[in-house]
Amino acid sequence: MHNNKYLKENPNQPLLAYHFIQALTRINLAAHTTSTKQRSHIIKHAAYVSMAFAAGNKRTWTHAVLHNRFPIKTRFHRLSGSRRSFIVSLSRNKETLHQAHLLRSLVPGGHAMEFSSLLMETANYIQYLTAQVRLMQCIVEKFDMHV
Amino acid sequence: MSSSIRREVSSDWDPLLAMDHNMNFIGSSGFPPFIAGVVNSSNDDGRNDQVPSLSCFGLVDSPEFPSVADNVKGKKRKGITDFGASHSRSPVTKSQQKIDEKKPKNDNADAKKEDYIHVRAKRGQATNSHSLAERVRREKISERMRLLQDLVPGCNKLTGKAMMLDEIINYVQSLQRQVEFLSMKLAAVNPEVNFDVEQILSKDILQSQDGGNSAALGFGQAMTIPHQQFHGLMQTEMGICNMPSSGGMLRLNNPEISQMAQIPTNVWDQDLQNLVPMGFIGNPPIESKEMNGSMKAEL
Repeated sequence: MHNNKYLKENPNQPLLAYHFIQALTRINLAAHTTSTKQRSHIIKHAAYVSMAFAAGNKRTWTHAVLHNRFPIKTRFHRLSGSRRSFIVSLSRNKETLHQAHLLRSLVPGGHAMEFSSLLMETANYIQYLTAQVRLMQCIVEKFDMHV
Repeated sequence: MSSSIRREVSSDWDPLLAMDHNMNFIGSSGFPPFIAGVVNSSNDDGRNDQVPSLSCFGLVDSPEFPSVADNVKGKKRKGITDFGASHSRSPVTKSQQKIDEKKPKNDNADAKKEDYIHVRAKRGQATNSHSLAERVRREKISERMRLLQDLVPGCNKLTGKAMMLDEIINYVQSLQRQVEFLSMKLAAVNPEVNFDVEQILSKDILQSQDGGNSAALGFGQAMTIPHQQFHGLMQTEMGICNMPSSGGMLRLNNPEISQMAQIPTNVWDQDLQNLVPMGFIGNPPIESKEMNGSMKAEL
C-alpha cells in the first residue's frame, strides 16, 4: 500500500512567530497611513500567509493560500466541471455531500481534492490554525500587559 | 475382408463410398479428422488398438481448446484483479473500474484472493473489484476521520461521520473567526508600542526549542534582516512562542537568540517558493486545551 499518510508534523512554532512578528512590525511602521480597518485586513492576510509559509509548499492548502490569496479575495482554484461532478458522484449521501462541500469551501484549495485528501489537508490546516491563533493571542496579551 | 479392401484401394476410390462400405476401416489417412472422429465414436467393436491413434488424430484441435480458454480466462482474471488492486493509485482509476464492471464478472473468487496482496475480501462480502476498491476508500476515509478526531477537541464522544464532520466544520469556522477577531485587535493596538519587551520576557518561563532553532537556522541562509531592528523582535518572539507551553522548561540560551537575530531575511519580498525545501523538525506537541480556556476568557 502506498504511503497515504502524511507525516504528522507539529507546526514549527518559532518559524511561525518569526514571520508573523516580522510582518507585524512592518505593518506597524506604515501604521500612520492606513486605517484600522485596512490594517486588520492586512494583518489577517499576513497571518494566513505566515501560517502557509510555516507549513511549507508541500500541502495543497498552503499552495492555494500563497498563490491564490485564499482568505482575502475568496478566489481559489476550481476544478473543471467534469472532474468535480465525478468526485461528487462518489458520495451518495446528500447530507455528507453538503458537509463535504462546506468543508471544501473552508479549507483553501479544497475544491480541487477528493475527499480523503481533503480530510488530511483539514487536519494539517487545523494544526497550523491553532498555532497561529495561539501566537496571536500571546501577542495581544503582551500588548495588554505592556499598556 | 482383405480382398474387399484391396479391391477398393485399387479402383477409383471415393472416400464417402468407402466409408459406407467400411465403417470399421479407420486407418486411412484420406479421411478428414472430423469424420474419422465421428466414425470412431460410433464404433464399439474390437478395433481398440486403432482407436486411440485416430482419436488423437480426429480430436486434434479439441485438447487445445480448453487450454486456450483457460488462458483467456486467466488473463481476464488477472486483468480484473490488477484493476482492483490498483487502489494504491489515485482514485482517478475509479473511472477505469467503472468500465471494468462491464466485463464479465469472475466467479472464481479464490484465484482473485491469491492475486490480491493488500486487500482481502472477507467472508460473505462481495469480491467485485469495484466494491473492494470502494471498501479500501471507505477505510482510508474513516482512518483519517479518526486522525481528525484527535485534533478537534471534544470529538471523542461523537461517533458517526456526519456529526464528526459537523464538529470539524464548526471548529475550522471558529478558528478562522478567531484569526479575524485577533487581527482586528492587533490592528487596534497603538502602533507606537515598542516590540522590544525584554523585561517582560525575563519573567517568562522559556521552553527549550533546540529543534526549532536549528530548523530556522537551516533555512535562513537566503534571507536578510537588519540586525538592530529585530534583535528585540527575537526576544519577543522567543518569549511569545514559548508562553503557552506548560510543563518542564529550560531557559533558552542567549547565544541562540542572537544567532537567530543575525540570520538575514527578506521574506516578504522574495518568492516564497525558493524557501520551501527546508526540513521540518517536529516540535514537542503543544496542547490545545489552553486555547479553549483562553478563548472563553476573551469572548
